[in-house]
Amino acid sequence: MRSIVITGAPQSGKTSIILGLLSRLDNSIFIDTKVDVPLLYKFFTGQETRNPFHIKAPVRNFMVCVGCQLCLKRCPFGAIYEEDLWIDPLECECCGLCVQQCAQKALQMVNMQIGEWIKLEKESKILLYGKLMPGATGEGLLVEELYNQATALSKDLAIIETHGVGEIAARMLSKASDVILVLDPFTNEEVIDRINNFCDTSKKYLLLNKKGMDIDKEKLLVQKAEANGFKLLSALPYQEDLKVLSEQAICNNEMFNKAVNSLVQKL
Amino acid sequence: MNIALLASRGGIGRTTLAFKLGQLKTKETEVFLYEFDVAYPKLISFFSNWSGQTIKRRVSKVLYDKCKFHQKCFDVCQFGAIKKENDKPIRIISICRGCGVCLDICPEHAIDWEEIVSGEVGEAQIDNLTLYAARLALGQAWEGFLIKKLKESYPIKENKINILKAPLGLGASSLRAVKDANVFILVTNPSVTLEEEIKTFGEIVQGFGITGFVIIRDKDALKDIETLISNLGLYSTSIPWIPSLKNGFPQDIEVELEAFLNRILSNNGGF
Repeated sequence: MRSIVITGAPQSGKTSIILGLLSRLDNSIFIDTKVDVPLLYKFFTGQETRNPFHIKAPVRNFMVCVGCQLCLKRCPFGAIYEEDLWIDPLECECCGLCVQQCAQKALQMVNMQIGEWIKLEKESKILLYGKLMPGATGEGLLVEELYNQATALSKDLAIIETHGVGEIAARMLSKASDVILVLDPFTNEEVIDRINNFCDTSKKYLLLNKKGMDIDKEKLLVQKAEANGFKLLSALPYQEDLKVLSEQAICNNEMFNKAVNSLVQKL
Repeated sequence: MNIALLASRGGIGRTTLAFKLGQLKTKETEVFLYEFDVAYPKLISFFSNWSGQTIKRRVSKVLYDKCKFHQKCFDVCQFGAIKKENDKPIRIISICRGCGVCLDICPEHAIDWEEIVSGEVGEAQIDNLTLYAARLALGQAWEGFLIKKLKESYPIKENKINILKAPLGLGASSLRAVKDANVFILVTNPSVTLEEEIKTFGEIVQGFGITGFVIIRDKDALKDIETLISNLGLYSTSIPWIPSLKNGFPQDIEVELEAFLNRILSNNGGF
């Protein structure tokens, strides 16, 4: 499976581009990695399958625990309280070290649901997205699950949208065959460095949105991206009226469509 | 009084609002800004005198001359930080939490510790406004460690106004950074998922048992959703979107923001 990760600056138009691709690419899987508040499913209807997602979390059996506090001393995240050896679910990363180290076997990894993953299928297209329970630990793992499910579906192509420059981006970029970095003239240069340092050996492309708004800044961003090995795919022109439109409305715009068509051809 | 600013989506002006909220009361008192969005700490750019001190951390390292490919490390790593490539374990350094579970499981002792740079932690000041911030090193994605170091270096001040800028998203990694807050503020703008976002935020606020505010960067959008917000036990306000800060922070918006801050401070009996 070829995986194309679409990443970049906030509000630079990533979602509009994904929606453009969604209406054009067949036999593909689309992955929405925004699991706190998923977004792409709002633009896609299809047959729905919902599946609970569990991670393994440590649970203490106080009947067996002798209170030696080894777990407390070894916990890399400081998630265990000294007074009552309570494991704080907000701090616990569920690494399993305490379970591994406990000589009494008083701790056990137990399945705990932290959210669900959802498959929407319509003809040859599939959208995979996840919903994390509010505030739950393990969003990175839920996103990994989406990717694993995508590979199991044996399609040719997966298009993955990531947000931010943190863990989710790092995880998906480490698997990408191609990376499309979406920037606009408001983008902080630092975004290019951050994304680039997560890219493994993948092919790297640059897509510049809102071209013509700030020519000097654009030049700077393109130069920097090219110096880091990103190839300029296309630049979507800036249009005053596009700025205020919803993602859906942008997709109906003629100029936008021309640009996405050319992007699909290059892919 | 610890006020946390959260956002599910980026680019909504959370950093600008955090800075401005910090500035508003500096004529009367000291205010402290905490930048916990260590993957993209934009607050640093508002201070010219920020300098950081290097922070290191431990991660695991595969010793390939000893590795006999038992593959136990793949199974035991809960983070997927060791991937299989041609039956060879490849550690993903950006997401390894350095827990050390793989060290003990390896029958060949083929995994050892390696020290790497996690990022920088430091402070800066403009008059009465102090910034405590951390910045992850390039190629690093494990925020939790650096956030913890930031808090250890600069413990949150008691009986002061502290503005805490959370990492992006509404997951546990963001919430644990700002769990000391008395007030959570969600900064958002019109979107097809605005309702879901506010409901998720509402559940989080309820779980923490604290006060929750929603700032929407659009007056009309707030009107449409005000009832939902108050039904969830949340408070709301709209602070208009500022397209450009080239001419400074608009005076009228500053007045609105100060009224909002006063409302927060008085709601909780001052500080």
